[in-house]
Amino acid sequence: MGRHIVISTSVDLVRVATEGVVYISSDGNYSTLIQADGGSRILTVQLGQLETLIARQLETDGNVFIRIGKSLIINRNYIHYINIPKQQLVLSDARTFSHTVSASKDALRQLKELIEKE
Amino acid sequence: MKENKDIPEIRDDEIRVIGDSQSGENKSGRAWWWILAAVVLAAGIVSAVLLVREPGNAADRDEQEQEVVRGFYEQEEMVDSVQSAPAYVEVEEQTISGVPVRIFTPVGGEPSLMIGMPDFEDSTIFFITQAADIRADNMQILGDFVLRGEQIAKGRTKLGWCAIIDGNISIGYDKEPAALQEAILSGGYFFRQYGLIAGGKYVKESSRWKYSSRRRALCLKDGQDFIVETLEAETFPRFSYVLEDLNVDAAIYLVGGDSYAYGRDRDGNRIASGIFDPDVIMDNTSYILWKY
Repeated sequence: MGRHIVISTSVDLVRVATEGVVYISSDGNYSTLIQADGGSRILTVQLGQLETLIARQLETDGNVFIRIGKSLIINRNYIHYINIPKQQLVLSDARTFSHTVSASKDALRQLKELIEKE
Repeated sequence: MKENKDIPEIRDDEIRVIGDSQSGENKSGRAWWWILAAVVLAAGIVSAVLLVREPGNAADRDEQEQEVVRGFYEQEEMVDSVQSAPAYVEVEEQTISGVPVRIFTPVGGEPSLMIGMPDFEDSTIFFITQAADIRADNMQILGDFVLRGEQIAKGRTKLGWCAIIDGNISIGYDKEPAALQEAILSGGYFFRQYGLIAGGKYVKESSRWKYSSRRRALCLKDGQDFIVETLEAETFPRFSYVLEDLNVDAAIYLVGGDSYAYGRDRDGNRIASGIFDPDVIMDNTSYILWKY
């Protein structure tokens, strides 16, 4: 069984397997979790707090996630397409879901280099 | 949940593999460390040169002292600019005709509308509160709604209206206001809600609703816009009579109950009213906001 991320606040708790997370986007003080099952969930924590939480809970296994700029944390296993000029990043399992997100050209250039070295 | 300050800030042109701090993939950040090191080194060299330099004549010393004085004032001005908010909301509590109310008066800035989750990190927003209602059948905005000149919802179920044209708020009560077309043509804003006061008089549009709830309204008086909310549950008619007693020229209802409103006062302190529940904020939740 894969590892899980547990996000607990004073009033609720979210437990999600790492492979169930496609990406997390920032909405100011809040974050939106996009799940592989098609669901989404607003989390009442900031993206930076989630990055800290993932690093602490998963330690080196957390490297499945990549922080991209101020607004995104993505699951590297779902990186499907990168287009730098269009600032486009498509996250997909090539079967059931496909999400297009936007990031800066510099960030996408670094991401492309990172994936090329895998 | 507190943020771990061990994780450094990240810019939009950077990426970082989580849980892999040794990967060195934060290349842009690493470059900045090299630049910082170079600047520190250069500063050290300059300081060393100045220390070993012979003292100059009186004119040189005066010039150096003047530079120091100029730097001191610049720094003081910078501190002032941080401490004094360029725009803010004044908060006042009163009891009008036996009803306790809170009055938010925006000072400076400009009003507009927005749809969706507000950016809570946007420090230029100094007051924000929900505007139009959402239809229960299709989750669309109820009534005419114009956002930056684009009409994205239509309907006259409610006759109260608010238009924002060239940064000026107008409030009225009729089926076909000229302000609707004007908002479209000028790239402005428009929404509908229950009319409460028009021409200084109570409008009975909402009077059929007899239940009590915390009420909130956008008001105009002598050209000044402000928001009035009740601290306790009140009926629509009683709320309208309170606004009439406040001698407002026009007033339109805003989403009341526990809907969330927040802002910043003159000292930069965050103020809030209602309950924030992200689960009730929908894609079409609309807000009227003041920002600078």
